[in-house]
Formats: sequence, C-alpha cells, structure tokens
Amino acid sequence: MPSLSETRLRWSWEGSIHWFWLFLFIIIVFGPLVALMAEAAQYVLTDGYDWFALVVPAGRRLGLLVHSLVLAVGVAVSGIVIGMLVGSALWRWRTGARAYFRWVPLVFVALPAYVYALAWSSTVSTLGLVLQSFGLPGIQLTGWVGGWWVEVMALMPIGVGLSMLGLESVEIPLIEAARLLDSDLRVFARVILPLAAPIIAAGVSFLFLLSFADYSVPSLFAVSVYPLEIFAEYSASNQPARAFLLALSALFLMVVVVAVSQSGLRNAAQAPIWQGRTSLLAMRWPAWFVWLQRGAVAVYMLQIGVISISLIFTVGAGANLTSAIVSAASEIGFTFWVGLTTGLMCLPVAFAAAKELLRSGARGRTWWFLVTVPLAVPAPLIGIGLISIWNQSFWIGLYGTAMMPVLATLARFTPMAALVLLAQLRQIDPLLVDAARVFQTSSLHAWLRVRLPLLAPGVLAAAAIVFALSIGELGATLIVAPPGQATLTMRIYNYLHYGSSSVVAGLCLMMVALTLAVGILAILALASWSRISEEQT
Amino acid sequence: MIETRHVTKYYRSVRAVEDVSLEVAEHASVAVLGPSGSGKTTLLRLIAGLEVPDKGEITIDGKMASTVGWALAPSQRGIGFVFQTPALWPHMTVTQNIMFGLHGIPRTEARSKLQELLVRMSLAELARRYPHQISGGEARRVALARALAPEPRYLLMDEPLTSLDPKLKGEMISLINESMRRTKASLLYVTHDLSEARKIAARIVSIRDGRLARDSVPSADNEAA
Repeated sequence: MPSLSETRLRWSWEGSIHWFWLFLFIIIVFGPLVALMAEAAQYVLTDGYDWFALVVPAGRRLGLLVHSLVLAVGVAVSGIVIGMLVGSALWRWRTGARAYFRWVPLVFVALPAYVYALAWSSTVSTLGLVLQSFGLPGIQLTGWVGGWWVEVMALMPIGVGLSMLGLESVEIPLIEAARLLDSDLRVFARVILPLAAPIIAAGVSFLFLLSFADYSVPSLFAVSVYPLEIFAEYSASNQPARAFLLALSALFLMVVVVAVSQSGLRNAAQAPIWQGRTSLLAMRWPAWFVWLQRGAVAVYMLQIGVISISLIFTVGAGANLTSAIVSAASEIGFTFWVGLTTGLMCLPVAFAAAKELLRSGARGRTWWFLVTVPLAVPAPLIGIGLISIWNQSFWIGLYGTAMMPVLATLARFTPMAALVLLAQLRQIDPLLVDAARVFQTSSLHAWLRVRLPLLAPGVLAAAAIVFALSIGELGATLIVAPPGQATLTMRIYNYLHYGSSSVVAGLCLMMVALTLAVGILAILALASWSRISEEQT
Repeated sequence: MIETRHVTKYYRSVRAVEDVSLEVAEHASVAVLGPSGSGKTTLLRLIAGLEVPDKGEITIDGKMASTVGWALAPSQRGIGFVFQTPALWPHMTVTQNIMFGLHGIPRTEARSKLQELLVRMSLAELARRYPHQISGGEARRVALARALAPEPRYLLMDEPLTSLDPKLKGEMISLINESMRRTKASLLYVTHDLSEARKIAARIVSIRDGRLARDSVPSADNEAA
C-alpha cells in the first residue's frame, strides 16, 4: 500500500500534467489574441495617432456595425424559431436508431456559408427563369433579403441541433407530471420552453455570433457589414494592430453576448444527448401547430434538398466529379490530415479544461469565461494573431509549415471540444471513479480500464465534431496556410473566383461526403456504445 | 371505476406487464405490491395514459381510456399522479406548481383551493419558495398538493415515500390517509413495502413478473405473514 507521501507525490505528478495541459490551452487559444493585443499596444504607443477612430466606430463604420447587428439578430431569431419548430417535430424520435440519425443533417454545418449562397442564388435564378417562361415576373435573391435568407439556411442545421439539445435537456418526469394536468401545447409553453430556455438562449447567441462574424455571405449579396471592414483594413494596411483595433468594438459586443448567455452554454454542455434517453409518449399538438411544424420541416428539407440537388446538378456527369476529386487529391489529403491532427491533438488539452469547468466557485467561473470567450473571436483575427506570433525572426520552425492551419483550427475549436467533453464528464457517476481508485493497481490501470471507457463516447464525439469543424474552417486557415498547400475549403474558395462551377460543386460534394462518413461512423459508435451501456445496466 | 382488461405491455422484447385485469372501484384504496422490476410502475403509467398498451384495454368510469395503439390524453382522464420523485418544476414556485392544474375555474376559486391546500399540507410559509429552496419532505407534500388540487376522482401514487426517513414517512402516510378521507377519491398506491401498503390501502394486490399474483385485504395478509 502506498504511504501518504507516495500518494501525495503521485497526486502532484498527475496535477503537474493537468497544469501543463491547462497552460497549453491558454497558449493555443489565447496566444493569437495576446499577440494582437501586444501589437495593438505597441501601435497605440508609437505611431497610432488614429487609434481612437479605429476603436470607436463613427459615421460609415457605425452604420456598418448597426447593419451587422440587425442582420445577425434577424438571422439568429429566425434560425432558432425554425429550429425549435423542426426540433419539436423531430422530438418524437427519441429512441432507437432514429434518435441518432435525426442528428445526421448536422453534417451540412461543415459546408462554408458561401456555398449555400451560390446554391440558393442559382436555384432562385432558375426558378425566376421558369416563372418568366410562364409570363410571370422573375425573382432574384439579392441584397438584405438574400443575405438574411442564405445565412438562415446555412445556420439552420445548428439552430435545429441546439433546439433539439434544448428539448432533450428537459427531464421527462417533469413533462409527464405536467401532461397529467394540462394540454400538451400548454405544457410546451409553460414547462418545456421555460426549462429549455437557457439552451435556446445560448442557441440564439451562438447563431448571432456566427452570423455577426461572417462577411462571406453578405459580401456576395452586396451587403456591407463590419467584419468585411476588418478584413479589408488588414488587406489594405497589412498591419495586424489596425485590424485588431478596428475589431475591438465588434469583439466587445460579441463578448457581452457570450457573457450574457453563459448560463445557457453551461446547460447546453451538460444536456444529456446520448445517454439516459427515455421514451415519451408522442405529444398531441393542435392542428395549427402541426402545420407550423410541417412548414418548418419543409423549409429544413428544402434547405438540404437545394444544397444537395444544386451541387449534384452542377457537377453534371460523374466524370466531372472524378476529375474534381483527382485534381484535388493533395488538398483532400491535407484537409484530412488537418482535421485528424486537430481532432486528436485537442483532446488532452480540452479534457484538462473540461475538468476545470466542473469546478464551482471563482475558479470554475474563470474557466467558463476562458472557454466561452474564444467562441466570440472572429476567425480572421485568430489567423492574423498566429502570423504575429510565428512570423518572427527569432522563432525556428512553425511559420510556413503545415502545422499553422492545425494551430489555427486548434485555437478555434479546442474550447468546443472542452464543452463536449464536459457533457460526458457530467454523466459519469463519481462513485464509479471512486471505486476504480479503491481497486486500482496503478493510476494508469484505473485510467485505461475505467475512466477512459467511461469517457469514450465524449472523446469520440469531441474528436468527430472538431474534425468536421476543422475541415470546413476557412477564416483563419486562409490566412495561415503554407505556400503550396491548401485545404479543400480553401480550394473551393479560390475556385469560386477562377475555377469552373462543376469543380466547385464536386469538391463541395466531397466535403459533405467526408463529413457524412465521419458523422455516421461517430453516430454508429455512440449508438452501439449506448446499447452496450443499456444492456449492462 | 378504473378497469384494466387483459392489459399487456412490452418494452422491446422485455415483458413489463402481462394480461393484467384489475378493477379499482370508486372511493376504494388499493395498493399494488411487488418487488423492483415487477411491472407495478408500468401498470400505473398505463392507467395514467403515459404509456399505450400493446394488448388489452383500460376504461375509466366506463369510458374507453386506452386500447392498443391509442390512449386518451393524460390530462383528460381525471386522475392525479404522485411520482416516485417529487418532479416539481424548478422554474415555478410552490404556489405556481400547485396552481398549474387549476385551469378552467374562476381565479378566486382557484386561489381559495390553493390556500386550503397550503394550510392542510403545512406549506403556507413555503408558498413563494422555489423547489430548490425546500426540503425533500416538503417537496413530497407539494407534489401531493399538486396532484390533489384539481380534485381528481382517482389518485395514482408511485412509491411516493421512497428515500424518506421513518418519521417523515409516518407523517406523509397520515397526510395521504387524511387527504383520501376528505376528498373521497379512489387511490391506487404502488409500493414494494408491505407495511406501507397495509397502512394506506384497504385492499392489496400483489404483482410479480408483470402478472397479478394475489388479491387480498390487509387483515388476511397479516395472517398470512
């Protein structure tokens, strides 16, 4: 039996590793921001005569900021309303394989928003031509309406996913207790929605952040927004400090949104999504509500249909798809490498952060802040920050290598992995871990035989989600990618300007297929894991 | 009267309840006694309309309440239900939890019913508190008050005294008996504890492996024990 001093020694050894990973989390996630802050401070102190004008938007820039806010609020609210209606319709599929496969459309999250813009523009144009052939006025997707619609469509899978997560988080006995006393619609309004509200509010915030930080879709519809100004400023001046100072007002707004929705994010991370699912007798909705649900589901299906059919039609012959894939073989390989490396490398770092999120008190709150605030940082800023760090003469090594895109995706998505792992950690019965401590022959033995198997679903889900997000990342990767190497998303983005549309569509289909394959594998693994767990209990 | 006729329920391939026929007359108090996993909770959930039977049918006061693939909405059955855990809605106060089922009646009448229940259940001082601000025993009383508030003709209770200490258990049993005398509702009480069943019910029905095994009155049970 180990003596007290041996126990302490072992504890401190484990503690040291934990602190090492936490330190790495801070470096990976906050390094780019800190580098930008340092550059900005230097700029202000030396030749930054116009720093105040950059930080406090006025005139045209204030107008742009307001435009961005209005568009993002509109997108977030519409996205979550449709998401809730679709989520409530899919809610009846709570058990069996269908419970897992209703999450499959989420793979479309990996497609960049501008691909949706192209698909919807061409679809609506074709529809316009058809209408004109019947002597009716043609239609076109342009301006604010076009930007809003495409953003809503592009973010809808996330809205539906978060809504389902919100509904799943409500304990079944609380719903059943209410159903005995009132109609299902009133139960939905008075019990289910208030209980799911924190997660739904977090969903609104998340959609707001994604929409607010995106400039690709608005720019395609000739709508000027603030993030485009930041990117333009960096392109024109090549000064990271100016871009960062310009971004501060937007960053401030986004951090406020994250801070306000933090309790919702906590609930979202703690909602059980793959365990403890119990059956609930199908809700009886009034006819008008069923029609609303059907309308929302139709829009959701339309969104998936438009993107899929438009891509398939644009590709045309199978030979086009094959040639697109062959011509992008190196990009496909590089994308897979970036996704896989990020998915694996983020795990120990994210796990250490997730353990901190479990803590109560000031330390726990601090870590919640540290994990959620990066969600508000626009991707281009992370790329610019990474260049500020690594493009220095005294560094050897990473700048200009294939590791730069990995660092970019790690900075962006490690916090997300921490939230997913937290969800799994919350579901592990502490008694099981205590029992392992009592009977273990060594810490490693307990880790490998008990803790890792218990954590496995969360680890798998975190790796799969980070993989999917990494292969779709563009904002930061575009800035830091080494010469001669590109991810699939970068190639699609470049081909939008000078490539053929059939190649773009072929590559998009390839991305959907890649994400779908990883998503289905992860879902199958989670489903079988859940079945094994259920059989054992 | 609640009547189940040859009711069967499966969960996947597991048989939870099989061929159960049971009658609960008006003003009766019946305990369903059985070990864990014997199907007693499923039987209660079937009667409440929270599950749909795979075979058989259930009538309440002569009206069809459940049959294969169909069940009348739980809120339209005129029953109250007390779950194993209090299942209080955490975003509502004690008052709001109790008032939830009091819709469709004038507000003043609902208020007076609420006041009466709060006093009877010794909850008056907790009226504005949220579930996380009250003790486990108090939460059970709120759950009972919530079930009684709409004055149901039938009250179903699913092991409502689990994990209470003996003193609280005794107090709750007195409260349940007193409430049943006052409301004249029928009681269907599920438990695995014979002594608890004897204190509450005038008739005890045993269930084992999803089938009804024995129907008796507590005195006869005493003798058998």
